[in-house]
Amino acid sequence: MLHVIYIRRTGSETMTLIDKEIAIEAKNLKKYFPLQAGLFASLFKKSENKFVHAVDDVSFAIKKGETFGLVGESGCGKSTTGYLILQIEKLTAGSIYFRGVDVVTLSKEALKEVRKDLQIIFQNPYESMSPRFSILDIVAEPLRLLNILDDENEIMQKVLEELTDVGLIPAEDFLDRFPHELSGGQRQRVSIARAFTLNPTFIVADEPVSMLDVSIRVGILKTMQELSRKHGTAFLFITHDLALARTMCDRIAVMYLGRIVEQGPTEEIIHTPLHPYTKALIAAVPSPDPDARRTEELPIIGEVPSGIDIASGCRFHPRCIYAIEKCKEIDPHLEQVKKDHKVACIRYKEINEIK
Amino acid sequence: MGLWKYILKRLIFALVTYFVAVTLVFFIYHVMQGDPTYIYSGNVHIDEDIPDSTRERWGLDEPLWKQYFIFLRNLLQGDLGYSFFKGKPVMEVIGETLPWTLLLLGSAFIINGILGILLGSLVAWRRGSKVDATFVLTYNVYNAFPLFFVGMLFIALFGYYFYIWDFPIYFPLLGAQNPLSYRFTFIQQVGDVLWHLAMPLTVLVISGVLGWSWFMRGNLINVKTEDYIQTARAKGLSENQILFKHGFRNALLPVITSIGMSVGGLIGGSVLIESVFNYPGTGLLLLNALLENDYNLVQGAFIIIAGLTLLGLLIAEILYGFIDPRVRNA
Amino acid sequence: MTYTDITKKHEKKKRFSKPREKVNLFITKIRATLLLIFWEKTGLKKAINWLKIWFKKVLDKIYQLYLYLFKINSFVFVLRILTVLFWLAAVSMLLLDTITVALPIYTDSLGTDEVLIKALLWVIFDLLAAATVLYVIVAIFVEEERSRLPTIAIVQIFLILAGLLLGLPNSEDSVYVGFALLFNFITIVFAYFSFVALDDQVKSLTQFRKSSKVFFRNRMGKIGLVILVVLVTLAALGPSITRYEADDMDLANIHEGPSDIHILGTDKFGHDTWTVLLDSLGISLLVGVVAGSLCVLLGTTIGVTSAYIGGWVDTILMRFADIVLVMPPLPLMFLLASLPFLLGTIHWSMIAIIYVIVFWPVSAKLIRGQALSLKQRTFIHSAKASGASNRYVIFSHLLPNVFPLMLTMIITSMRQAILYEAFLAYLGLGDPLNNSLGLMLQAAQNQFALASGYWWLIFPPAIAIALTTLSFAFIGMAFDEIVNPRLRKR
Ligand SMILES: Nc1ncnc2c1ncn2[C@@H]1O[C@H](COP(=O)(O)OP(=O)(O)OP(=O)(O)O)[C@@H](O)[C@H]1O
Ligand code: SF4
Ligand SMILES: [Mg+2]
Repeated sequence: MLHVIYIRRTGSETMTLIDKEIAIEAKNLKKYFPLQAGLFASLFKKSENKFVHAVDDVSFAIKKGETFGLVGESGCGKSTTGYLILQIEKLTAGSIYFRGVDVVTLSKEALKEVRKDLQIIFQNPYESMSPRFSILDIVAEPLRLLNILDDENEIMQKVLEELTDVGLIPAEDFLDRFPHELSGGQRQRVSIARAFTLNPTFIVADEPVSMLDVSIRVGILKTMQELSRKHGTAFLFITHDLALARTMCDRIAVMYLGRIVEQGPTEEIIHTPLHPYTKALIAAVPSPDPDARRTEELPIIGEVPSGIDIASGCRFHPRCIYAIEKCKEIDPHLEQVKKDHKVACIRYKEINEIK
Repeated sequence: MGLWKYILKRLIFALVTYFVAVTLVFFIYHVMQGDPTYIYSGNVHIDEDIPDSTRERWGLDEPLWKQYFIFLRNLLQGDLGYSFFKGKPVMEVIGETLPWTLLLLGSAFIINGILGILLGSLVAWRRGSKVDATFVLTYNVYNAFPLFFVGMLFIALFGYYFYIWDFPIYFPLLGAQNPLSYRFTFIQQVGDVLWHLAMPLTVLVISGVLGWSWFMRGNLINVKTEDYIQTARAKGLSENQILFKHGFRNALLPVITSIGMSVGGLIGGSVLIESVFNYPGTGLLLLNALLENDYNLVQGAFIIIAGLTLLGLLIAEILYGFIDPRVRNA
Repeated sequence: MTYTDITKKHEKKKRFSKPREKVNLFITKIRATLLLIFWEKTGLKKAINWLKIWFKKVLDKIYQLYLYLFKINSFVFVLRILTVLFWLAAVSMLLLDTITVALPIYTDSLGTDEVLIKALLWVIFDLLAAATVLYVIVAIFVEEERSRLPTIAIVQIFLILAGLLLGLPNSEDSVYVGFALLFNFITIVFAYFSFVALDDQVKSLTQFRKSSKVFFRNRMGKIGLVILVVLVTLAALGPSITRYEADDMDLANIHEGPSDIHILGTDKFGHDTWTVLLDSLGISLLVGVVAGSLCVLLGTTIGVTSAYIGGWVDTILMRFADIVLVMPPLPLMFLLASLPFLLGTIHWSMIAIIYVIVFWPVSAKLIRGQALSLKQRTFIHSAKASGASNRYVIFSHLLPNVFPLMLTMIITSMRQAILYEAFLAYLGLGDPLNNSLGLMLQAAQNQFALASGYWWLIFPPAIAIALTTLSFAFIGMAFDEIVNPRLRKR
């Protein structure tokens, strides 16, 4: 809104650019969780500290009003990325630019200002609300915490508005209810209402429908889309469901063990995946057309490894069917292939026969 | 590997705890009491020269921290000091009482475990029936009375009034043995010991069995509402099959974990029972030593009792490690 | 209003009742006359009117105050009244303590150094307590300070513990301080529910109603509550409802059975058992309530802190809890009770402290488990995403959610504390100066009550203990059903 001029430092180069388009940008996010060691172990054994590399050097920029998908298998660090952006978890390293400032360096008070524009919707509507809070309190919590409205009547008015917006009608009936008195779908609508109360410019939606029945997913997603169109909200849409990502997202980033391995416009990723991992993911999605069902085997070897002992070189190589010796040595970084399409694989040209 | 590591871990924890307990007892007594010899300075039965020899042996003129290390060294050698009231080494006094406590505790422990689990499963499976209601009421009413009161009633009724009323059977009022039992044959001696054990054990066992079955019942009720039980029911298994195939095993695991924890409570109960029935165990010894201010004996008795508790806990935990592999990695 | 006005009005009203019209008219006329004479001519009307207006004004003021302070409903209203009353009680108790106990000892030149130091400590303790107590009322009425209430409560818990540990309330009179802090504590709890949780009121009310419905559907809960209320009333009234004082000795009637003179007979000193019983009941209940609630409050503080901070603080606190937990409780209590400085003048508050020291790990571990699982719940993340402070998370999300568990644990703990007090007293390690149920049983045992057939010495205290613990157990079970909906019968 105010200043959109900001200074970015990338490696050695410093560039100044005016970018009215970008809502939020994450640069080299890292999050390592220390493994809990027992008291005695930590006293007696001088073990090198082990870490779970939940997020390991992730960068992306999300444009205003855009829905940016983050897909990947369970445990690859998608949720953690979302938490990092909202400063729910402390970053190990990296920076997050929002309105031209690095959010990480902000003071508590300044951070509060920023929080008014950042919100989150959680995966599990059964867990994301305190059972002792009424719906009114749940939706009003951000308003109260961030001191946006003081008057209780105004707060109530605002909450009623939001509840109506997400399709909980009549809204008055819901105010004094408790989460356990609502169905899963209704709860998720409450979550959405809560996220939208502050008209944020950016929302992290962490698998917002994965716990819900298929029959109500469409309704919820539609509500989200409508609201985001109305307010011009940008989304970080986290999901493990490629089909869903395809319908919802403008762009997609594919994550593997804490890293983005491929990133690009949705249709391009779906139709011409470049990275072996992305290919495997897409192959695993059943096609609705029975004739077109792929017969080839899932081209991934083995199970998802843990994020603790990460393979040297390309972290996908133990499971990659295209892996060669060189892959064990070189850790590939995201490379620009086309405009807005990046991939992290040293062999992508050979695999995809690109000159 | 996992198992041994687990056992080692529990062992280290038990040792550390024991060490803390021992240290605690030592400092409580020395800091609070100052020079321990003052306790028996007023006691006429004590030879004047005993304090000097003890002073040397226990380094009573040394600073406190040195005394502490001397105490630890003596403890490692199995020497807990000298009880001036009994005129014997503490170890010897405790040695006389320990078998009785072990007898009482051991038999109570085994009977509690077996009967408790059986009764608990029975009432849980008949939840809402008359059996269950009776059990709930009995449990609450029995546990509402202090344990020693039940003991008092038992003594009065089965020991005293049965005797007065010329009943064919009556139980001894106190002690663990007939004072003249050395004249008995071996069989008679065993019978005599059991005869004396009967009442204290019964009181302890009733409360124990009720407590264990209460716990077992709670677990089974929780398990009964689990999904896999409902699935089993949907598969058409009979209630008894469900009970033994699924419910029982899953409800039993937490009960086994709590075995260790129950040892402390059981020892507390046995202390009460010992004092009510004048049963010459270590608990009664501790109590009497406390009331007489025989502080070496208090220290020694507490160290032994804490050791017993920790040993019980350790055994239960190792057992649990064998039964449920999950805890090893926890 | 004039005479004609009144009659006219009345006539209009009664137009249809023709048969009795004349009688009515007559009565109205008489009434009007009387009114004219006594009402208007004497100036009474003016006075009354003036009073009415004045009264209305006052009422309005009160109503405005009511609106300001107590705008929600009668439940909260009562709670707020109680809050203020308890606060006043706490303050007056502290005043009493300072004036009648601490200061006289201090100014008494005969006291030894030890006594003087103790008295000085005492005064300081009083002052500290007074500071926190005074702050409570500030915190209640100044909105920004309200969120500090729980912090004050926690500070006070530790103050109480410190005071008790220093042996301050060791004299009989010092019960004042205990009561002052206890009252104040109740004030804080009430204030928290009636003032601080303003936004939560509607919610807590519906929750309360729902829970109470479940509670009262449970027959055991109902029975337990009734028994407890009766017992507490008896204990509160105490010896004042009997013919004797607790230490009266009727030497003419020793070891008498129940009779007209002594409802429950006498012991070997001629003490009236019924009187002693009521006196004892009070102490036993007090020990149970103080020890049980302090124990769980301390456990909750430690458990929540441990879970929330995590890391090495958690490790150390929990290892320590483990160590205390695996020690045999009763022998450990013996040991603590026998500490010389305690043994000399062991007071019931010491028993409470010992109970807290031995049993806090139980509640700390349970609460920590619950708090840990709550910490993982995403509603905490989502509050943090909106910039919630740690304090907010703890007081608005963690504590309210562990509260039900805390409540059941407090009840179980109170029940257990009463039993343990009886154990210690029976074994001769109790407070020898204040009658308690355990002490009564010990005395009965020493008089060979059962063997001699003095059943009135032994059954009343035993049954009193049983009823108390039974009522706590029943209430606890009913609460369990609220907390653990699985247990509800379908
Ligand atoms: N608080 C934590 N402490 C330690 N490790 C954690 C913590 N949170 C997450 N992790 C680890 O970080 C990794 C990434 O977790 P994350 O929740 O981000 O995965 P995800 O991609 O969202 O998975 P899912 O699709 O199952 O939600 C996992 O290996 C997880 O075990
Ligand atoms: S770099 Fe090598 S191992 Fe990694 S994805 Fe490409 S081909 Fe596979
Ligand atoms: Mg996730």
